[in-house]
Amino acid sequence: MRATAALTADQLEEHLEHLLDAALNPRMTVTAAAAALAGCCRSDQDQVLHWVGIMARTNPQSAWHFARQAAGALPLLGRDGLGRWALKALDHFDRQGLRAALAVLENAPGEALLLADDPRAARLEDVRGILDTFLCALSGRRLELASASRPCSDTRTLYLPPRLDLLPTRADNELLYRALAAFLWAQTRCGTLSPELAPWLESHPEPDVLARRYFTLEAQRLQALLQRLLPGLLRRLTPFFPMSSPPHWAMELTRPDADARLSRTLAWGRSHWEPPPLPFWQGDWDWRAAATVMQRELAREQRLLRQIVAELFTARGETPVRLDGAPRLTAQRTEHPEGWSVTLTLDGRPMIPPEG
Amino acid sequence: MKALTSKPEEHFILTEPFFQPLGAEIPLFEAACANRLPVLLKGPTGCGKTRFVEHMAWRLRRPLITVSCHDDMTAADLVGRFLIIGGETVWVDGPLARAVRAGALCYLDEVVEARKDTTVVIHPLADNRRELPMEKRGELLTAPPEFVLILSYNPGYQSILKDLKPSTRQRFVALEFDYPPPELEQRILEHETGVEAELARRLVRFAGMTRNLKGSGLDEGAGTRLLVHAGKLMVAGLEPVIACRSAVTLALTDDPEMIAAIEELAGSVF
Repeated sequence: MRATAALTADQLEEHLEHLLDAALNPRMTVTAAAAALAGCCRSDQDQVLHWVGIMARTNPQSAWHFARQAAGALPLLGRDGLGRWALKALDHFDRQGLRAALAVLENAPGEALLLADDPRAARLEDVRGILDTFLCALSGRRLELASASRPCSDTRTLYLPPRLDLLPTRADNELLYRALAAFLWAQTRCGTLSPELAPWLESHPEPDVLARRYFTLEAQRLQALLQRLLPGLLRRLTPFFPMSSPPHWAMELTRPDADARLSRTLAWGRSHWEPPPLPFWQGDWDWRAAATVMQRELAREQRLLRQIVAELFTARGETPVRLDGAPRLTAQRTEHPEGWSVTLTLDGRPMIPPEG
Repeated sequence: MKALTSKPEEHFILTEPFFQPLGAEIPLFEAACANRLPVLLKGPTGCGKTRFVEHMAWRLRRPLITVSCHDDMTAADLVGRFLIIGGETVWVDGPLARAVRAGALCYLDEVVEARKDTTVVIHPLADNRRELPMEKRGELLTAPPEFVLILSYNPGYQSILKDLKPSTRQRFVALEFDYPPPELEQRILEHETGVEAELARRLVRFAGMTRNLKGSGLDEGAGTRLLVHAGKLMVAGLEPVIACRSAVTLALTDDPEMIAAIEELAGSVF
C-alpha cells in the first residue's frame, strides 16, 4: 500500500540530494528546499520530486532552482500548473539556455497569471514552435518571435501578444496567432517596412498622421496579397474578421503588381482621408523601431562588405581598400541587343562580386 | 550447369513517359550515350530523375533495367549468383549483367546506398574498359556500344559516410536535376494527375513552402512525386488538406510539431 503520510524535511533532503547530486555544492544545498516542501501534502511533494527528477536529467542546476521555488509556487500554480511551469523552463533551456530557464523559474507569479486564463485562450509559448516553422516555410529563413502586448514587426523580430482570448475557442485563437504572424511577415517581406519609409514619413509635417494613412492602405494591399497566397487562412478568419475593401480610389492596391510605392503615393495625396481602425489580425506598427533595426542591419552589412572587399584586395596582394569610408565600388550598366549586363569595378578595376 | 538470363524485350518502354526538359538534359544524355559515356544524375528526391531515365529509354528504344540500391546490396546482387534449382546448379545473372548482355540502359538508383564493394563492378564498366568482371563464373563481359550505365544520387541528404567517392564520380558525365520552376511544375501536375489549374498552382506553392524548411526540421521538402500523389488523391475526390496530409506531410516527417506546422501550411494554402 502506498504511503500517504507527508515526507519529513530529512526524508525530502535525502531524496533531493539523490536527484540533484550533480548540482550540489556548499553554496547550493537542498536544506531550505526540503524544509519548505515539508509543509506540503504528500501528493504535492511527490509531484515536485517527480518534476525535479525530470528536470535534473536535462539540467541539474535548473532542477535545483525549481526545487527551491516549488513550495512557494504550488499555491499559485496548482499541481497541473507546476508541471507546465517546469516544462516551460525546460523548453526555454533547450531553446535559449540556462539564463532563459532561470528567468521562467524566478517568475512563478507571472506564470500563474498566464495559467489562470480560461480554456479559450491560446498562449504564445504553446504555439511558438509551430509558428516558427510556419514563418520559416513562408520566408525561407527564421524570423525571431518575441512576446509583447502590441503586435508589430521591426523587420527582424515579430512581436506577438503572450496570450490571445479574443475568439471563442483556443483553436480559433491559435488561428489568430497564425494570421497575425502571416500579416506581420508580409509587412516585412513585401516592402511595407523598407529603408526609404522613415525618411519619407519624416519629410511630412505630421509623420504619424501620414503613417496611419500609409499603414492602413498597406493593410489593404497585404490583405489582397495574403488572399492570393494563403486563401485557406483568410477564409477561416473571415467569420471573425470580415475582410474589408479599400476605398474606391485605392482599388488598385488589390492588384498583384501593386507595391508599397502606390500606398505612399495615395497616402500622401489623401490628406483629408480619415482611415478606419485596423482589425486586430492586421496588427500594429512601429515604424521608428523598424527604421532603427534596418539602419543597424544596413551598417552591419556595409561593414561586412568592406571586410570582404578588403580581403579580396589582400588576396590579390594589393593595398587594402580605404576603410575610412565606403569603397570605390561602381556599377556600370551596359545595354545589349539581347538584354543588359552590369560591370562592377572596385577602385577602377573590374571585379567579381563576392559570394553571399 | 545452366545459366538463366532475362529477355531484354521485357524491359522496353513502349509508351512515351511524360517528361518536361528543364535544359539541355536530353541532348546531353544522347551525346553521352553516343560516346559510350556513363551518366550520373544528381538531384533531390522526387524531382524527375527516374522519369527522365524512363523517357530516355523510350526515346532511344533501348531496354531499361532499374535497380533501387539499398544498404544490403552487394556486388554479387548486381552481377549474379549460383543457385540450386531442382538439384542443379544454375547461374542467375544479376541486373547489371543482364543489362550488359542486352545492351540496355542500367539505372542504379540512389547508388550511394549500396555497399562499397559494388564499386568493384561499377568502375571497370564506367571507364574506357566497359567490362564487367564476373569472378564466380570466371567470365569477363564486355559491354556492347548500346549499354549505358546510369547512376543517381541525392547530394542533399547523403551522409559523409555514404558520399560518392571522387574516383567514382569522376568517371561520369553529370547531369544536375532540381525541382522544376513553379509554372512547369504546375503543368506537370495538371498533366500527370488531371487536377485543375488552380489546385495545381496551390500544390506547387505548398511544396515551395515545405522546401523552405529543408535544414530547418526537414531533410527534404516535398518533391514533385509527392505532389503528383496528392493531386491524384484530390482528383479522386479527397479534400486538399486531407490529401496533402497523407500524400505529403506524413511522407516528409514523423515529428508531431512539424506535422502540425505543415498541416497548418496546407490549411492556409488551400
